[in-house]
Amino acid sequence: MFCKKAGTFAVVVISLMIGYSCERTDYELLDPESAGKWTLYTTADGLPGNEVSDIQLDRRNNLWCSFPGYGTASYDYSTWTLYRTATTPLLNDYVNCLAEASDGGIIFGTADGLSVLSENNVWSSYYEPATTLYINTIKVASNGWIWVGTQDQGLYVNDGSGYTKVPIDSYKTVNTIEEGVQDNMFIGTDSGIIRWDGIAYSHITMADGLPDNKVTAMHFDREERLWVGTDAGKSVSWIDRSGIHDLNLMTGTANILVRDIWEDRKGDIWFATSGNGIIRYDGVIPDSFKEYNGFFENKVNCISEDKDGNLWFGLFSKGLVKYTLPIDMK
Amino acid sequence: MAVKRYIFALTLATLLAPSVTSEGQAINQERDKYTLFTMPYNMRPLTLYRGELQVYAGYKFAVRTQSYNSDGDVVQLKNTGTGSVYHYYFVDLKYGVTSFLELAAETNLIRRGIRSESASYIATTLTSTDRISVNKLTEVKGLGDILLMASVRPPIQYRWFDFSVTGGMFLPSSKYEPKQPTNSVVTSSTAANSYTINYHYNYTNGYGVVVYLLSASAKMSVKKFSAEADWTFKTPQKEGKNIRWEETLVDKAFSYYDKTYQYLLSDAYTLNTSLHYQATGWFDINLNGSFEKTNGGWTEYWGNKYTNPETRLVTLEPGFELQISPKLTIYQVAGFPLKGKNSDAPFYLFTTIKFSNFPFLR
Repeated sequence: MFCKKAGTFAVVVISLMIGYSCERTDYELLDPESAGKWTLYTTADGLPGNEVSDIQLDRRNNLWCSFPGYGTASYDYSTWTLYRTATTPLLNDYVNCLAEASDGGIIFGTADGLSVLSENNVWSSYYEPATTLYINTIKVASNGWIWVGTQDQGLYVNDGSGYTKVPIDSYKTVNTIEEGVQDNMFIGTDSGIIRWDGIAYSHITMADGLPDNKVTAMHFDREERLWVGTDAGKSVSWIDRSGIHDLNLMTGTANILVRDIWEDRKGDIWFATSGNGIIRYDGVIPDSFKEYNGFFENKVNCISEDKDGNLWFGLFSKGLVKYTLPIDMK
Repeated sequence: MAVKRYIFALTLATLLAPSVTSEGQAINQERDKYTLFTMPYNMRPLTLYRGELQVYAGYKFAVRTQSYNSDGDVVQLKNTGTGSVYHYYFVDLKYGVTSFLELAAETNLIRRGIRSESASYIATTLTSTDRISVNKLTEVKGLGDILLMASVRPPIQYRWFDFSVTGGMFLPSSKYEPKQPTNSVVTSSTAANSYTINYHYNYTNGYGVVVYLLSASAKMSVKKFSAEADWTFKTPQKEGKNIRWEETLVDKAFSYYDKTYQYLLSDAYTLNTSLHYQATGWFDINLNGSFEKTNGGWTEYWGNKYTNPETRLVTLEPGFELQISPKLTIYQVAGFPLKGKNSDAPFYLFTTIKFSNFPFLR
């Protein structure tokens, strides 16, 4: 009798185990072979030009790129849609930078001012009739304000009521703008960083520990560190609550011009440089990707990320590079 | 999907249920325990006799000198500086509830360290040289999950053919989250800009989720020759969560933080086929061919889910079974990898000692 019960019990247990063994959810899965791969896109793939000055992912997951001299283009991961002065009201084909406004419009910074393409395909623009407004950088803050840095014409801001020039003496060229915690804005100029805390300005310069006063790139990461790249020196800086720190990028050159900084989903920090390729810092070691070890070009203008976390690098003269983050299937 | 799996489960239950309602072989079987202890392989059924208790203790020493890549090509690990050895211990407790129902519990312990080839990062300028040397040790250590199993076989006396079905589950009893790394930095006393980073990652040995096991075995004997085939399927009950450690080096001191990720273990299939020759009553030699395959499952990386690579491994295992006393038997197997894909290819020696007893039989 016992044997009979035990046997039946065993069969029931086995059956239940199988019955409950398929508690699964279907996900869109990626091929591990695609990880860690570099892909180059050029004019042969539909790009309007091979110099890419800025990359931006919009809220509809389209990737926007600016091509100095060739306008701008959006990429929906299958085709490129081109925007040029010949076919659109874009102010100038020399597009330096771009950003997405809080209302979903795309702002293009050109050599003659700002052009905006709204979500419903209406163009508008802002320029100074009396002077050339060469736009270096655009930053849309979390409160929706649009900060614009120019070459020799200082800083402009649009708080929703229109663009106004921010009167700060002795800082004519603004190369990069980044937002920190508590609405702090950091403005990277040829003469150091200006920090705007909403009330007053303060300055961070070489005297405080920056490698150089010409600040060319900034990025605020998830660890609340402000990474600062400059025009010279062999290192970059990061600023946190404890002060300014120094990171030797180990490139073997005395001066590194950092053009852009990006933090990937893994938490690694990437530096686009003019002359030293790209450098990945994994929190411990900076590792270079240059022409000598297989990268496409030593001059890299910009870095951004697409909806899947792939990194995109805009090159100075050889196109656009996509990089899928590597995985370690231990 | 749910309906299909319940139909499958019900069908299996229906097929097996009549078999366990019959009279078992144990009732008519001679209960001389020494006869049962010394029953040679070619005369034994696939499960234990009623009241028989067996304890297995095993040790596998594996030398990992090569692996197979995704194309199935052999990669010599000495060329990548990642050759290693590993030690695997296991204990298994089996009890024959009846002569056609066996219960078992098993666990294991792994100790394994992979030391990667050292790397150097050097940056030389006119005025200085910066050098970072990197060593990496990946250690896997710890108890495995506890596996509980129940096996049933037809309630007939073994003569020349037998088969059994086993169901089981790995209980997630062991630690599965990796421990915090124990990295270190050694500063050079002679070169100010030089230092060595020693990465030390500490992984554990558990699945983290319940894993079900279903196995079927068949055995046939003709005089002194026997052939056995075992098919095993393992599948996870559900998705799991684990952590990855990330590190940051600031002022030559490491700080760590972890990130959570999801995973679904791959399904695993194993097919073993073995030929045995019972040379004497106490010595059996055998040649086993093993085919292991995993597929399905995924692992999350940085917000994306990647399919786990399919792995395959074919191993040839010559071995023997030597009865050194009525209660003690030694098994020895050597494993030679023949073919594979996305898999380590270790050569190994696996030694197991079995202790048998009938604790409740006088």
